[in-house]
Parts: sequence; structure tokens; C-alpha cells
Amino acid sequence: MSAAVSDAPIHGEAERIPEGATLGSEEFARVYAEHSRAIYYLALRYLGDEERAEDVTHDVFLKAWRHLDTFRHDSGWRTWLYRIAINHCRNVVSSWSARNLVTPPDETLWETTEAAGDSPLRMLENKELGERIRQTLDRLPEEYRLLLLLVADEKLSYEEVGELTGQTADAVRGKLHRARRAFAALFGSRSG
Amino acid sequence: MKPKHRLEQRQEQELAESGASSLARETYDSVEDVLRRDREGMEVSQRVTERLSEAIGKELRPERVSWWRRWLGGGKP
Repeated sequence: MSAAVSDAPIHGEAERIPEGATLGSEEFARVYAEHSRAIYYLALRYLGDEERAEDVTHDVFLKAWRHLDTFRHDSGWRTWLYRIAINHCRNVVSSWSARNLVTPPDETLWETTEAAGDSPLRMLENKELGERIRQTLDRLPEEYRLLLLLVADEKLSYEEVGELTGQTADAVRGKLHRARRAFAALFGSRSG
Repeated sequence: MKPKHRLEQRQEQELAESGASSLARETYDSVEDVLRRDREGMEVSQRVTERLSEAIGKELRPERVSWWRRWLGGGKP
């Protein structure tokens, strides 16, 4: 799968106006208004850090702005922006991991924890919810975390999720089942 | 606004005191529903919008800057 834009850090790039851009600036503002929450949410729950998520959101849209001339209309804005965001988040994580000792998730946790059942999920409906979700996602492998976050976006098809994660739609369906099970098991366990 | 019945007020107070008001439960059909609900409660900080506006504004030709300022609801002329 080829990325639509390079992964080069934004701040090191030469500043330029996207001469080949087919969009007017006001349309880009509409794109931001429509997609910024989804991009921010992906970054927030993928990285588990509000400040970094804000930085990523800013950088994703600035990068998109600078690379408007490479946007392929057949892929759709959401997919294109997600692709940039995923690359950027992975760069952030690898940069962070290089400076910190990261303990990989213990898969035995959800393999041995009996899930309360994939459906229905019951939860506290209050401000603790976000923190509980963050803790749960943090304990999942990166692949499962990303898969769940993307599939939760109703604007993406399984094919698009597969394109973004470098696999087929069938593979997405297969892994999704395990990812849901792992999430439900960890979400239901009280130990953090 | 319709005044609250005294019993309702007392029940609310009791719930608040016991912490039970935060225990309202809701049922979701799937993990995706949980995440969607979580996402719905999110707002992108205005700080991000302002930083982005500023960064893009610097790259735009002067005559094209104004729409970003309009979009932010005003700003420096």
C-alpha cells in the first residue's frame, strides 16, 4: 500500500503554497470542520495523550493542506486524512518508545479473562467512561486498538479499513472479532 | 420552567449524596457503540483551530488570508 503523502516531519519541510490544489481555502475549512473530530479522536485514543492528540490533529491538517495537490478524490477525505494521521501517530509512538521502556500488552489477560459478553456492554455513563476506555485501549495491541477505532467510524467501510491497515476486508473481519473480545474482556475487568 | 416536585428534589439530593447519580447505566450493542458514544463527547480544542489557522495563514498569499480570519469569527484586520 502506498501512502499518499510522505511521513517527513512537517516542521522540517520547506514552506510552500499548494499551487496544484483543486480546492478553494473555504472548502478546506469545511473539510476541517467535518473531519477534525474524527482525526482528533483517533489520535487521542491511539496515543492516550490529549496534548499529543492536539499536536497530531494540527499536524495532520497542516500536512493535508500542504499536500492538497496529491489528494486523490477517489479515496475520500476521511480515508486520506486517516492515512496521514495513522502514519503520524506511529511516528509519535516509535519516537516515544525509543526514549522509554515500553512493556508490550500481556495477551494472556484477555485470553484468560472471561468476558461479560460481547453484547450488550454495560458501562458507567459518566466522566469515568473516557478514562476507562483509554485504559482499555492502552492494554490492547496496537493492531487491535487501531482496528477498533477505525471500524467504529461508520463512514469507513471494511474495505477502507483494510486499505488503511494494509490487509483485506476479510482479514479485518477476522481480527475484529478477536479485537472486540479482547476489548470487552479488559473493559469488564476492574483491574487497571 | 416547571418547578420541581419536592419528592423529585429529595430523590435527586439522595442520589447525589450517595454517588448513585453517576451510576446511571446504559446498554450498548457493541464495542463500536461504546467508542462512538465516547467520540461524540469529544470536541477539538479551539487551540488546535487557532494554531492551524495561524500556520496556514502564514503560508497563504496576503490577499487570501482574510477567509481564515472570517472563519474564526473575526480577528486582526
